[in-house]
Amino acid sequence: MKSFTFLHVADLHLDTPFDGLRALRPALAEELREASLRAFDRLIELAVERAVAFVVFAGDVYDGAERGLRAQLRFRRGLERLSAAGIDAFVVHGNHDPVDEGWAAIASWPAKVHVFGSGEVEARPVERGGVRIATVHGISFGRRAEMENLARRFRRGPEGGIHVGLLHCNVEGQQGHDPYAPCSLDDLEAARMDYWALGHVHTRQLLSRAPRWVAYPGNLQGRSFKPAEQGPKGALLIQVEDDAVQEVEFCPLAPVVFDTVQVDISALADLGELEDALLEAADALVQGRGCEGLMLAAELHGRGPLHGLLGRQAEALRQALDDATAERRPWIRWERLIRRSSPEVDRERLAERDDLVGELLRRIDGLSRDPTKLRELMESVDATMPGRSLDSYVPALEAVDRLALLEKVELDALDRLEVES
Amino acid sequence: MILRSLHIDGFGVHRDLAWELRPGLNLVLGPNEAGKTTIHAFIRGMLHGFPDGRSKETKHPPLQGGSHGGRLEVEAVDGLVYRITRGGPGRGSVHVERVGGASGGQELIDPLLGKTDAQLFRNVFAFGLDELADFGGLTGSEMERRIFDAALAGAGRSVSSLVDDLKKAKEEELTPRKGRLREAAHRLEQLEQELRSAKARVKSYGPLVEEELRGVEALGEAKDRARRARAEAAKWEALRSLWPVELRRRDAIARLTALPTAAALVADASVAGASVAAGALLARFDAAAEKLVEWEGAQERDEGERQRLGQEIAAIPPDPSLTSIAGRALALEQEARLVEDHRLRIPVLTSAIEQREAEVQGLLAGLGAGWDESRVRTIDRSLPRREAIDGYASRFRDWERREALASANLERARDDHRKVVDEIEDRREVLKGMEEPPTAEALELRGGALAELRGAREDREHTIRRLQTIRDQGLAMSHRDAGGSGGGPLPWIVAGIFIAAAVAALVRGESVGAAIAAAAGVAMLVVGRLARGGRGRQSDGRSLGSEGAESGVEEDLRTIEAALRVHAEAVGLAEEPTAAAVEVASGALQRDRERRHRWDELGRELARQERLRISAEDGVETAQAAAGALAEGARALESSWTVEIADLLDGGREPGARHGGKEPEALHGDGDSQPILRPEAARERLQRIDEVIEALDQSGRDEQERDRLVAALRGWEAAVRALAALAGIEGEGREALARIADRAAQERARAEDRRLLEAQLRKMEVDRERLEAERRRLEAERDGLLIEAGVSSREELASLVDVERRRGEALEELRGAERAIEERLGDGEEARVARAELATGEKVRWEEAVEEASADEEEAGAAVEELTRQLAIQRREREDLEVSADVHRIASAIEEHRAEIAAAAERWRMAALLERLLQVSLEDMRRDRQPAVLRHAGEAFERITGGRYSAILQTMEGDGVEVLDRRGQRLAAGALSRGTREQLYVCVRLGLAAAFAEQGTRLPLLMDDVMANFDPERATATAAVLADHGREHQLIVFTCHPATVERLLAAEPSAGLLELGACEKTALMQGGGGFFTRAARYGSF
Repeated sequence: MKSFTFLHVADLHLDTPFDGLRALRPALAEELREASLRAFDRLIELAVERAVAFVVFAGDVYDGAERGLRAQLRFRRGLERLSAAGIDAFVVHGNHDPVDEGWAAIASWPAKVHVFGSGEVEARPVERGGVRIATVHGISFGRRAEMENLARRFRRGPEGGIHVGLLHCNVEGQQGHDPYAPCSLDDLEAARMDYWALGHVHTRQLLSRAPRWVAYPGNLQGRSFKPAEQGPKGALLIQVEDDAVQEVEFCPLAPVVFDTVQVDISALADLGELEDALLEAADALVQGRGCEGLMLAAELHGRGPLHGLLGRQAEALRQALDDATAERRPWIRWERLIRRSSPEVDRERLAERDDLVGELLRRIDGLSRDPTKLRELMESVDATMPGRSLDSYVPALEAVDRLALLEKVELDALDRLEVES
Repeated sequence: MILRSLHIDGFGVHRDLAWELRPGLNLVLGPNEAGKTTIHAFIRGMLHGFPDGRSKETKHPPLQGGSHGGRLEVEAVDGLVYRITRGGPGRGSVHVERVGGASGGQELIDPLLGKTDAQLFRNVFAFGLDELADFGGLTGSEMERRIFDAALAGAGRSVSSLVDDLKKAKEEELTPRKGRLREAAHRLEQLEQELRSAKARVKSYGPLVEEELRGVEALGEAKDRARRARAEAAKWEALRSLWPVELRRRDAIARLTALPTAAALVADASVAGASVAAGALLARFDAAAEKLVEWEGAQERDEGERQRLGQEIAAIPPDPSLTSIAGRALALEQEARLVEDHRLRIPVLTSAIEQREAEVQGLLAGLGAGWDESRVRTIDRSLPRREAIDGYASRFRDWERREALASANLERARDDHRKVVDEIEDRREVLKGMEEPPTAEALELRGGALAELRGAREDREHTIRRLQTIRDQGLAMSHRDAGGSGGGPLPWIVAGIFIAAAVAALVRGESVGAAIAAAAGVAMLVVGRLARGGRGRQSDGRSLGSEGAESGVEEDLRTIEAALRVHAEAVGLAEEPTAAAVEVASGALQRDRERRHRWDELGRELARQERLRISAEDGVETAQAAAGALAEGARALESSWTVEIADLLDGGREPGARHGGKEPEALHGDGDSQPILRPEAARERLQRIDEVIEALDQSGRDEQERDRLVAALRGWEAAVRALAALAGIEGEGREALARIADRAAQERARAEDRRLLEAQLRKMEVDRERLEAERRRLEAERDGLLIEAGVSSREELASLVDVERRRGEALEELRGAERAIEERLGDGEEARVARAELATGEKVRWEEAVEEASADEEEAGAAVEELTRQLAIQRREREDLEVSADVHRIASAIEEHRAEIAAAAERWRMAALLERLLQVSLEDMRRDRQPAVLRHAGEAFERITGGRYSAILQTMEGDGVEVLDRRGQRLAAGALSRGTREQLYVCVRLGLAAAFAEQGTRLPLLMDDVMANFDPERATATAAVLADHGREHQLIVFTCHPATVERLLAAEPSAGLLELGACEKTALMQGGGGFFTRAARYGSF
């Protein structure tokens, strides 16, 4: 075969809940519950529709060692469809679903599925018409905290066709992700794979192009408003011609997309105008997303009279937006309204004032400049929190959180002190 | 900073309002709605900016016209004066000018305001009755807090109540026993428990699947058992139900046994068909006999009919002579119309042929002599020939066009040549009539001499005036040469050049030019001498007296006059020419110059015309050569053309076909006057030839057609005659044919009648033969049936039929029973055993077995039902687990609650942190500022209360204020009367302003009717306190009470006063002017 395609997908985290969402209405909750599974179904449909040669799953198919039954059965059914369509599937497990841990409801897999073990790197052929078109090398995590550089175990063999390395790992110590199976681009280069199908990092990245492609497809379905989880999510479609990867195309599959719209309130006169501006921004975002629904956060910037009003009416506005867009297709859920705007005052002059407001702002400025003092103050404040038994539920504050909290406190103080220009 | 003056251009109800303020106490008196608050707002707006469109504050648009805004003059602490002009909303539309210094915008004002923005100014330095308005509704502790807060932050948001709000906010999120966070945590615990259960349920999936498999197996076994019992019961039930059938079977066998042996006829027939076959035999026998009887009757009727038909046929015999010619007569009749047409066309064709021949002759004659049919046919009329002729036509046209062009060119060249020759002659004539003017060089020298002459005349006049002046003053004055000519070697060099020119002119014989050049040379020498002499006198002038100077000037005059003479001579004038003579000479010189210019112009034009003439002659020769070449080419073309059309010529000249209808020279340059056939005429001749040949061809075709028609007519007439002879009819043509046709038609009608009768007779014969055959077949069949049945008569046959019917019935019964048994029992080994069992006839035993097997079946069925139910439950449970989203739902709910807890914790932390920050800030301010505020306030309070209260103190808890009475007792502020509390509040606000002043922020304090509720005594005391405050700080008091003004003026007679009139609202609405009076008195300053 001179040309063929295959799909690269990772971090499916099938049937796992979304992080940090407020209570949802039942219909929406149901849609979100199905989102990761729907994304997987769309992946299978894409594979069949595009008649790919094979699909590689680069780890974290499930979210935890306690793999959900629904997720396992859905996964198996999907692989059965691939097998029936003559499409090979190769699976490695990652830190969230290590192969030697956890519970497996599935005892056997369809004929054209291969799940890589954790012992050694295996090489499996992909053949078409009796000709080897590709060799997929892979190894699964045996345990969650796999700290070995597994990439160094991969070696390209003399077989014909392209060679694909399938691995769940953290390349070059990417921030925001556990440093499991750490490796460098040099390690990957040394294995001389034509294409490294990686998993673990939820942000889509093409770390290297021809002739040694290295790619993270990102996760299949975003799960929160964290930066890595926002935007379109899906799989990578790899085009191979004459034993060489020609192009890598992103195929959006996630039915639910997390995203943020930003609006400057400076020039807006009232909440009606703000609502219009937000809806307009959301409309622009919806275009071409190919999703079924949008979980939106709205970040409001700028300085204007709306700032004070937002302090009191933010939830009402959020609700109004939600009502305005709930019935649309794609639906839009206004999950968060983040007030990063400022009151219509000159903060520098406020801080110079010889009254309580000035005193307070100068004190806040001092804390911002002195993280230790801020930490000590927050610890002393936390110490007054009633019911220490709730400690396990109340999230601890990191340095970044403390600064953000201080910023919010300042805005709140200006609101409460009815500071005006 | 203090306010020095204000001027309102337009602001609210005020327009063109000017007021100069005192550094200390200033009063604004006016009834309600007079615009006091508007002035208040104007001052604030001038300092901090007017509210813009987005502000909730009143904008005070100018209701009485004028530009929105105005001017404010303020004096800084350092004595510098600033003029603020503001004309629109916001902080930007302001112009600030420091008197005697820089100008700019808000940035010049802000330093004067210290760290006080608009809000802080309002909170601290603007104080109104409205703040006291709700004192009556406050509790004691609220009052204390209000006063306490005022001592810290003026009239802003109450910090104490804010701290209370924060505490409430914290409690909403979390208390030791309740709060949103605690509720969410509690629900979270429950959810986590639910999640553990849900996960445990999911883990039971494997055992469930195994249990389901076991259930499926057990169900299979139970179903087998039930199936076996059902089969057993069915088996015995079948025997029981088959017993009556078995009995019928046995009866049929007995009946068959009793019947006689089957006849040969049915012995081989099927059992079922035996009776039927016998019955059918009898029926067929009877049918055959009946048909035979019918046949005999029909035979008799047909014989009579046949005889009648034979007689009728014999009565109409055929006529053979007419029969044979009828067809031909019909054919000739059909041709008759065509023949008639031939007959008509023959003379027409003859006439056309004759006409065509005459036409051909005419056309041949038109072609000219020597043309006949044979020659015409030899002419090549092909398409290439025609194209060749067209090609010649095109070439001839081209040659003609080129010849015309060449001819025109030649004519034009000749014309050009003539014109140039004429021009040259004209020019020569003109030159001959002119006298040659002097040369340009001579004119130039004359011009130079004339200029020198003018210069020398001016020099002479100037020198004479100078000489006169020296003589008049008796002084020796140094002077400069008025001509300004340079000294040194230059005059000598220029003079040399002119003299050389003069010599050259003399050599050439130009005496005038030589004279002018010589004069110019002399003049240059004179000028050089004068210049040198001047310088010499300048240097000498310092040592010589006036006499020396006079003599020097006289010498100059002489030299100039000598030069004058030389120049006059050079231009042909008297020695001392007058100015008029000089001008006349100048005019003559100008005229000579113009003549010279015209002479030179004519000479150049003549030379140019000569060049044109040579060029025109060349042009004529070239055009003649081109025309000659064209004539040669035309002859060659004509020669070629003559060959091309040789066959078309008629041996003589072609009339009217000459070239272009005339005799063009180019085509007949060789003198041959024989005209040629033009290509167009050749095409025309070919066309005529075409017409001749077409006419000839058409004539030939017409002759052939006429011959064919004549032959056809004669042939037809001969055929008609022959046919009439055959039919024995006299006459010819169509008449004879009509008679023959009548006869033939009659014969055809008789023949048709005869044919029908014969056909009818033949059909009867055929029917008779067919019926005869049928009779024979029926007789054979009847006899055959008896033989077939093995009987000899119909009676025997009927008896046989009855026996066979009974046998058939018994056999039917037997077979039906056996079929029923077979259907029920089937075949195979089990069926064989069952048949054997049926043969035993033990019906009672079978019934017992049925009951026993039914009981087994029922039991097994119940087991199947139970197992199916259980399996369905297991399966549903497994399927529920497979599709269950419980884990996900609960996990999502957990996430939601975690988010809720995080949000609640954040809200709690925000409130707690802000509370902590406020407390710390308050503490600092309390420590740093409040003592000074309370000290100032306490002093004022003591004076206002006449010493009843001696001080204002902070409470022991530090969150309120108390007063100290004259006995030294602490008294809660809330315990004071309302009026005293208001006085306490006023004192605190005065103390706050004083404390700000101590810290460097000294701004005017604006107070609005704060003494409204004070008793006269305390009001007077308060006025004294305010007057004293005014000595330290600028104070502007707004009031609508004249008594307040009187008290304040009594306390401070030098206070400034602005008195405002009442404002009529209706007037305002109508925009009328003069609704308030100007200040009657602007204070004492």
